[in-house]
Amino acid sequence: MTEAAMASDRVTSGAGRIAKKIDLVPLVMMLLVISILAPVAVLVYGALTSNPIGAAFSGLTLENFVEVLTNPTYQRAFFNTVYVGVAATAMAALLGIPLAWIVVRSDVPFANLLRVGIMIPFFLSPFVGALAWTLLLQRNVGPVNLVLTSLGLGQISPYSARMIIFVMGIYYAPYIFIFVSSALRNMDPALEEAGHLSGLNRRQVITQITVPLIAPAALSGVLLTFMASAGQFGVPALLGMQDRFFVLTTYIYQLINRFPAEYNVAAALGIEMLVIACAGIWLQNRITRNRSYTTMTGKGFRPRIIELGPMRWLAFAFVIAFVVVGALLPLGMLLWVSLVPYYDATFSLSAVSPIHYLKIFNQAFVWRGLKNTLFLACAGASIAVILAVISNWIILRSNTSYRKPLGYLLFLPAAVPHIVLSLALLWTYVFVPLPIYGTIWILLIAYVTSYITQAVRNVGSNYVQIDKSLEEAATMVGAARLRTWIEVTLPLLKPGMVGAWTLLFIIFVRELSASILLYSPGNEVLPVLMFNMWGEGDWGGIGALAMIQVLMMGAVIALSGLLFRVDISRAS
Amino acid sequence: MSFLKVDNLIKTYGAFHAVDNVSIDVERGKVCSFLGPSGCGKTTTLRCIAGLEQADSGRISLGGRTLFDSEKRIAVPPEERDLGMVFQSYALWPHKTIEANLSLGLRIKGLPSGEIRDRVNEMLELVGMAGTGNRFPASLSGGQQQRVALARAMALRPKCILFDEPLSNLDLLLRERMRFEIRDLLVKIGITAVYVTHDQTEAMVISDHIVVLNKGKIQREGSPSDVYNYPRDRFTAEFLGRTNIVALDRKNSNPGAGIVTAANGVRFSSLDAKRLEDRSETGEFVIAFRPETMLVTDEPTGGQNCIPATVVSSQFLGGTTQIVLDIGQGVHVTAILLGDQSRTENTQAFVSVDPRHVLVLRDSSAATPMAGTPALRVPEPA
Repeated sequence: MTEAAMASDRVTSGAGRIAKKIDLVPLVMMLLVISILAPVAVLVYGALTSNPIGAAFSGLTLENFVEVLTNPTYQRAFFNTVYVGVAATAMAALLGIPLAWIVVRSDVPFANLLRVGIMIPFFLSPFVGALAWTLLLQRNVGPVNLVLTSLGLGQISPYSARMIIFVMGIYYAPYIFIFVSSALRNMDPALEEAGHLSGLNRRQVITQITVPLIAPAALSGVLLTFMASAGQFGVPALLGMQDRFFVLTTYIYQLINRFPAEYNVAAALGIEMLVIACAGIWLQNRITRNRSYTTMTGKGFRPRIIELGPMRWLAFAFVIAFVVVGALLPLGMLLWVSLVPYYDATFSLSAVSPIHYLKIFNQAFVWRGLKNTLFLACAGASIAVILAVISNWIILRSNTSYRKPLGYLLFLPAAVPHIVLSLALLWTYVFVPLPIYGTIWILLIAYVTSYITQAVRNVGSNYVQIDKSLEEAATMVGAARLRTWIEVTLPLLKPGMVGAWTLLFIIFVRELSASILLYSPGNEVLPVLMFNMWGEGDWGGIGALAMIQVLMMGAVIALSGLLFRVDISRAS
Repeated sequence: MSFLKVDNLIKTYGAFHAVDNVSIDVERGKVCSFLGPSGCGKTTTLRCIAGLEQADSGRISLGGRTLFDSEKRIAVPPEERDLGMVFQSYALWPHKTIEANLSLGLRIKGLPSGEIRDRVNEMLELVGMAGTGNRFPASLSGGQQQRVALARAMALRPKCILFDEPLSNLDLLLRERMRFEIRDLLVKIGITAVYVTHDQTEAMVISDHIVVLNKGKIQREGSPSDVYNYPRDRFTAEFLGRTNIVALDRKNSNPGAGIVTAANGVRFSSLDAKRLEDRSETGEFVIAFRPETMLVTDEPTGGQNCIPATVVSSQFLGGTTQIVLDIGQGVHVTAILLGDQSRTENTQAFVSVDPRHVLVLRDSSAATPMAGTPALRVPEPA
């Protein structure tokens, strides 16, 4: 090849590279805009008309909002949502913050084991927790009620606002735990030591230094927890609807499932939820602005362990109590009801039989649900991770002007409660002349859209750790962009990708809030099957499905740990 | 009478002896440096003095007051030890202004607000940071944060101030300037200080007294010039500056006549030779002399220790010239000469070392790698 030919070859391949770059970015952007912004716009439109879903345009009206804001039942639901959200968040914080401090900073025995135990309720999900606690508190036969009765205390009914708060408080405590423990771990211990050298005693160091430094991270966790608990569907559905205690999510579900469905009012309620969520995010930004300090340097300090003396066993007992209430009792209960033909408050091994497992595996819809769940979890996690990698590359490495808006856009789904997003998608795909509405694909779209923020954040925290010069070094030895990606970027990103994939798989396996509005016969997923079985009172079936769910999650966690050395209990 | 006294301090982590029976005396108003490679126990010793770590056994006292005594089970908490400390990471509280960083301890102590204000301003003035009180640490450069950290450590007027590698996060130029600033400041206010560093030049500039530590044990202590000019062991000599090490042929040496013989047969006159007669000195020894004590000439000088040699390499480094010479049987030594004294390779020359500078060192830690400066290792003759 002549010199000139080589030169021109170089020029064309260079131009080809530029062309590729220009193509990719708007494509991804368009996809994201369509899947994120369009549904919200359609939802706003739906709330502003009185037309039934799918009908042609015929003028705008504010009557839905007037109805939502003035009708006492809706006002009640709004108030209940805020009440349950605030109370559950407070309980989660009162549990999560001490748990984090004990595990990270004290000399509590078996700290690593306890850390894993604290994360179990996070994996179980609030919905499964609510199911288990319904059983544990069943009238006259629930084991916890049996114990309470034998102690001379009255029975507790699982169906109350207080139990909704209790269950959500327990199952969201790990959220706060994740935030606070990582902040505690990333805090330079010298900051506290400097306090001692400045004459502060232990208590003063905690109040003047540790607490203010941890506060921004803790507040972020608290606001996220509030948004999650205000957007929770499963728990208030299970524990509230029986006594007509409604929150916004369950009311939206009600409006859509009554006949005739009131889609327009539901959309207005959805907008109301969106406003609450946006207020939460605005508040979080306001509070934590310029205050993330440098505690998140990711330097990985070895935390200063504080010796508790004999109190360490009290701390140990506290953590164990949490794990028992959040994980061991519920798991044990679900396991037991799945193993006995009929739960009658006796615990005899001779009663054990595989009848519920045989029963559910003989039903076609269970197999279908399993298949759907596995497909959605695998495909959803894979698509979300791929999108997250591309998005992070655009945000962190490209020099397009879309970078900033893309960052905001990807943050948006975190602000939209999942049930609201699914309501919006439902509305959107009724319009769109594609065979998506009423198929499994609408669930896939809902899953990916709902959790794209999570994926982007997980992969991003790995991506920012990769020094740009590592990629540039590959370019310098002659690797083209794609080659650089394959040889350098992807291998280094593997832990982040595997971590995000595993976390999303687990989230999708237990997803109910979005699925409940979007599934159609034939497209049920495991949590929807459990929800429907709960309606029929089939506890044995629920127990068996819960065990299958736990096995699926356990298998994926173990696989990602064994094959990729990813410790999912450290991911967030 | 020593002001800060550390006696027989021992601190272990499992089987690892971080501090192995260390005793140190620091006089009032003097600056003492702990010098050594990472993991030598210098920071652990400092943290034991601060009370941030608790030693397994030993005693620590400051100005006659016992801070720690393992036998009497005394361990004064760090906040009551009357100490100031400057941390490697500065550890300025990011959520507080500079003013609040300095005044927190004073407020805890219950000083009147007028006095607190005066003291804060005085301290900021002292470190050249006046007028920054309302700013947050994140808005300051590394060097400025360093000054504020120093001001904070002094604000409570402690009896003694502790430095934990305070300059290691600064760039080279700033580090070199700050050494002198800290030294001047400490002398000016006349405070007792303990300074931990792995940088020998920093220790030489800042301290009145240097304690060289290795593997939890004190290797050598004394004034900077004593420790540098008269190291007693190979580790200290190699850790402080560059040193030529030549294997010793003890059998053919004549300590009584002041003669030490190298393994390649070269005989050196050494004022240090009598050390080989001392029965209390056990173990292996080596011959050592520093590159800057050497003279390289075309003709024999007629003085002592004038050795014929071949120039192996010669490099003009700007301020100095570094010449590697073969003094027989492949034993290479390095000379560092002032100015441009380049020589042609493979030519003959004569190397001279004053007998005062030819040292006999205990081969304490032949395997210890040097931090910072590259070792001038001399291959054993074949």
